[in-house]
Amino acid sequence: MFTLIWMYFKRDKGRKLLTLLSVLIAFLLFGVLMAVRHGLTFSENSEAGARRLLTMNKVVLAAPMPVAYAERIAQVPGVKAVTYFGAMAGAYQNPSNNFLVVSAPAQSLFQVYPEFYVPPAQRQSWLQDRTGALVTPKLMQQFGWKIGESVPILSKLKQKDGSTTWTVTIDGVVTDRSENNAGAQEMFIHYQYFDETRGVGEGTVNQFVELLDNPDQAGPVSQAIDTLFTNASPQTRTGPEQAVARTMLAQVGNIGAIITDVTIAVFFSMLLIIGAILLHSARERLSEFALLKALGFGSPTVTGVVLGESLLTCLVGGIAGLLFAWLLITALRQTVTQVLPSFEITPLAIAESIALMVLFGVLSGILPIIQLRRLSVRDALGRA
Amino acid sequence: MSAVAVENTRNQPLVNLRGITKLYKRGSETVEVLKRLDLAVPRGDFLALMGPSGSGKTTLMNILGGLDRPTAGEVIIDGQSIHTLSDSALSGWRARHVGFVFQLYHLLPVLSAEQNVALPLMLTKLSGAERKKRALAALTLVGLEDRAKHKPAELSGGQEQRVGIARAIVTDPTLLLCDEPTGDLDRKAGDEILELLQLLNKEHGKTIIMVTHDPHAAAKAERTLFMNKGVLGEEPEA
Repeated sequence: MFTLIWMYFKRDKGRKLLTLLSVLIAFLLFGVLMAVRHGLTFSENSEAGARRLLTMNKVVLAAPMPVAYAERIAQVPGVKAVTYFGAMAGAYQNPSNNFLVVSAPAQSLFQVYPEFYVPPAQRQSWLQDRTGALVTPKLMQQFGWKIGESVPILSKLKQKDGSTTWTVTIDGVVTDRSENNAGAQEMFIHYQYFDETRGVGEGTVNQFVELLDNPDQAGPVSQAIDTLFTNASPQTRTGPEQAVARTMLAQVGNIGAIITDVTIAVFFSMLLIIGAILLHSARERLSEFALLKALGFGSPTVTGVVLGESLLTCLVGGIAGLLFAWLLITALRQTVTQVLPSFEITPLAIAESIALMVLFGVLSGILPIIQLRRLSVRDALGRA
Repeated sequence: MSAVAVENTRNQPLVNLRGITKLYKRGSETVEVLKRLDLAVPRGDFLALMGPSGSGKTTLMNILGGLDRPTAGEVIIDGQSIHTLSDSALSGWRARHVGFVFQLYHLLPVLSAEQNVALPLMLTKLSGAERKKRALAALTLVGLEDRAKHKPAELSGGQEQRVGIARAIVTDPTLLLCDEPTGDLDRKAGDEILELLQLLNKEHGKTIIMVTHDPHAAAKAERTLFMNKGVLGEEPEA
């Protein structure tokens, strides 16, 4: 039977090549889609992450809130430490070299994020330098900065004097020991410098982060924090760090969802077209299959040949597509790491893809098989 | 088997049809294509079946080859009642006992002549080398050993039919069923095919039943039967 399947697989090379190419592209698309989906739904699992809450503006998640909230939040039972972030978009030399500039109070930053590591001398240097900055290794490497170097950062956020160039000194490199943001492009500066220098939004922050005594208290503590500001403006929304991150992604991800839906529609359209090609290809060979039956090949063998060719086409094209998807994802991973920290094809996605290939192979083969079973050999031979 | 038993088997007709009736449904109408038909074909016979279109010739051939089942009656070939066999048993029986030669050749276009001929041998346990050897022997018998590697599209109609005949005889079947084997060929190529069939009949002892419209082709057979409205006769209906 395998000889026959191989024989049919090799026939009509031009059409087979185009069909395989279509299957390849469909599963390349599917593989990338799976990686994007994984990236969007991936949640960080660091132990400290599970112990942190995020408090943001209830109406618009990134909108400013008064920094004074921090003192009140710190009083909530179960909150061990509070830090806060004010953020701006920064760029070096030209706007395309952009990255995130995060301002935070130095002491509480390291309390709330114990996984952040800065060599002691560099850390000491930063703590004493009002305009100092810590950068991630990725950023340091990308721009070739050196410790102690003074660098101008371009931003759309104007300073009080109208300047849009923020000059900072690179005091150290901050690494995340949980390795959750190994590819991050971030710069940390002192909140005090940021707040005193900026022209607008003084005394506000974009988010608060609370370190809990006990992760089991996340629910009640979140509620207690939000209750504090029920009658304030703005109100807050507090939740576990991962959950809020997902909410943010969900807001941003509406566009992503549209793209995903369109891609899925394209994928299935392609599968339907491929199915039609395979179906047509099998149908036009009904007389050949009838001949095989006339020669004494049993129905299971002929069924196996039809199904085998269809499966082989879907598997060969599909696996090649996944392979190309893997190459593409590997090449793009560093570029998209900030948007999709876990951009990869998981073993589950591979299993789902192969199941889809098998399912599609079977579905494409099943209609000609039903037709072949209904058709008498004499009729089929008479058709040719 | 004793000598007497062998002799008895030889004396029995290879093909024995008793009271074959075949009904088809065409819409609400039931058509009786074969009407209580009896036929005995001795071993080594070369029988031509003639008759107008729709007379039931092809239906009879399909029943003889196990491609169709009679509505009533018995089909006994080489002592075996094939009308009682299951579909899978019938497939196996066809592979061992019958060689088909079709009017339109029915060669697989992607296979070479040799591969087409070797196709029925894929149902045996022969090695690839042995299959190839037997396919080449069959092609040699039909005079096409030098065309073994050619695809059907590279052969003439007559050559394609020779490949079809080689495929029919490669398993050394008991019975050759030829459905209009010269119907798609010119006179010269048709004559060559008929001579080949005569050779297989006379020198290789093959029992051949051939359906044809062509009196010239029928004349090459040892005897001719005429079919009309589902009934067999010795003479054509006036």
